[in-house]
Amino acid sequence: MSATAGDRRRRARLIDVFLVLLLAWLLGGFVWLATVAHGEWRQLHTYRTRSDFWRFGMRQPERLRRCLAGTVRAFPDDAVVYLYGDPSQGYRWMWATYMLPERRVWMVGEDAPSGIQVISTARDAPPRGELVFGGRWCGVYRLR
Amino acid sequence: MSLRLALAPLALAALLLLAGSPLAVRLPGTRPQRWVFAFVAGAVTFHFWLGLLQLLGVHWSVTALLPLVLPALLARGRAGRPGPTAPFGWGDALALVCLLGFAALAWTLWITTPDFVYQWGVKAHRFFLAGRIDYRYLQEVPAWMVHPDYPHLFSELMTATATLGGGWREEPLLLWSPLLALLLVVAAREALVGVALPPRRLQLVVAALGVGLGAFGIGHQMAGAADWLVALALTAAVPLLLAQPTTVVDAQLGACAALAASSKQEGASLAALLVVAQLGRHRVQRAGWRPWGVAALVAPTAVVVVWMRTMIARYQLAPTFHLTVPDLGRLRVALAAMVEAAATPAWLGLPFLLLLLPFLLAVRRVRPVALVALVQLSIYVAIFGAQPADTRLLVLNSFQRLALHLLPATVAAAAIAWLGEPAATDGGEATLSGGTAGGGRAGPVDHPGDGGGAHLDHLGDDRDGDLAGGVAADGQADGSA
Repeated sequence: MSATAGDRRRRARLIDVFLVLLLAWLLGGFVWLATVAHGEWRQLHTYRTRSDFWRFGMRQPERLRRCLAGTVRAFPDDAVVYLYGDPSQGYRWMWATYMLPERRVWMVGEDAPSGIQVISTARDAPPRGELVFGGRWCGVYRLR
Repeated sequence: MSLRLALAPLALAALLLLAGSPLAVRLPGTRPQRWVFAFVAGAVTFHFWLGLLQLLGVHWSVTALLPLVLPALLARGRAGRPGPTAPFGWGDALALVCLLGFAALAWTLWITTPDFVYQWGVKAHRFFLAGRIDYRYLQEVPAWMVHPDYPHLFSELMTATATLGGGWREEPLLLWSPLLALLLVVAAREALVGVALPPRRLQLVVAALGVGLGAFGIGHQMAGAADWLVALALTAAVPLLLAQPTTVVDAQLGACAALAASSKQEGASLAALLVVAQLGRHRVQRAGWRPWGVAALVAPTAVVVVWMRTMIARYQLAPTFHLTVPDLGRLRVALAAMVEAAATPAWLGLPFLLLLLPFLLAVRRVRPVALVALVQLSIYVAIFGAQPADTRLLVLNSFQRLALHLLPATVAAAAIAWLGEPAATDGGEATLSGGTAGGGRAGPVDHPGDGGGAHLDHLGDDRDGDLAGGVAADGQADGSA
């Protein structure tokens, strides 16, 4: 049995109502997401501060950027720049790689070979590390 | 920041439009549809051109990019008359405002995708410094980090933007994402114009798509992501997969497939699906084979893939993924995680619309689109089940982005299948087969003098003679699906 004109009109109205509700939902969601993002940007802060959640402008990556900019000159132009840290902090290394695109950056940990220079952004010097440039929180160390 | 840097993405976009325009202006379709196709063809040409420069050892520079405008300057012959499009409405305005909001937040860098830092951006910056693809660098860095075996089109777009701008600043580079999102919405909109949706529904769907994509771009930090390109390739292919298979459509689909293959690894399977779907349609509809058509359909993607595989082999680039046979246990975990990922606040529930795909298979006219999207989705699921990794984490980290590849095309297909009003018999309004009726409201198509009587005309005949019937709707425009 074919649908009558009235049925078609009711169906069309239902579809329109659904579309209007969907748009209202999406619009509300857009405003909410944009407001949250804008608020976070104003404070340059999110509740997640681990390196896998870093964003441009956050305190942590900006501190790394400043440290790298100040310490990279301790490395010859064609030398690998070693970043000292926990190998599980791979994302921190990725940010360092992004921040020094003209250099080769590698992450090293406790098993790093002796004799190399490393950048450390930790409060304490790396074990076997001897400060050659910079200071605590941002220094270049030679590993014994 | 200098004006030159800020305007660089727009300058490159214009360059790509010019590069693709000689072909686009000869195609049937509305004017915005031609812009979309000019961009698609221009991006593929740009990718090939940079590959050629790489092969010749020429460094990428502003001068080296300028020959891309040559096709536009040298093009001869009359451009076809564009088909009628729908007037700019409130839904278009709302979509535009939301995408501008996405662009504004992208400019702050706050919503930059992490993959820009880990992968696309770092590679683009290296290429910018080297003036070419730096394969030595790609050999040295760990594969899991920069994915050296991935296609480079998106990084190349950013490298060329920085080259045109004369320096590296992230803000203008991130504008590519809202720009591509805008093209996506335009592509979907014009696909709907082609099937004459009632005006209010056209505006509702366009607004929903623009608002939804803008929200996702902001909420999921999608500025600087390459996934917009893959989504554009599929969405631009929607009207082509509905049209009668001809040499012209083959050429257009070939460009869409090549764009997908040049964008991301996932794009390679999408490209193959688009090509296979079109070959299948030729066979099913007994449309006949023309050697030029098959060549135009297959060759661009083949060139992209062969070039990529050659470079991977030559420089021994490490593969990003190690796949095994899909495992049932992992597949179960993957499906559960996909539901979890689809419910991410950033998507506002839209990925659940992908559940419509099996139902769209029942609608004959959108079946090719639904089939391509569904098989592509199945490939994603199979890959989730075939990677020896933490499956849940893998899905939660990627499915939101992968859903973007399929969602705009799915929305467009669903709208085409179900949102057109059947022919009114009692003084209703716009119908699928006619523009205005009874109520006297304007039809969706802005075509003064035609009375909106034949919405599909522009798809079939550009009044040029040679392309008549090029992308004509496949005889189901009267709602006979």
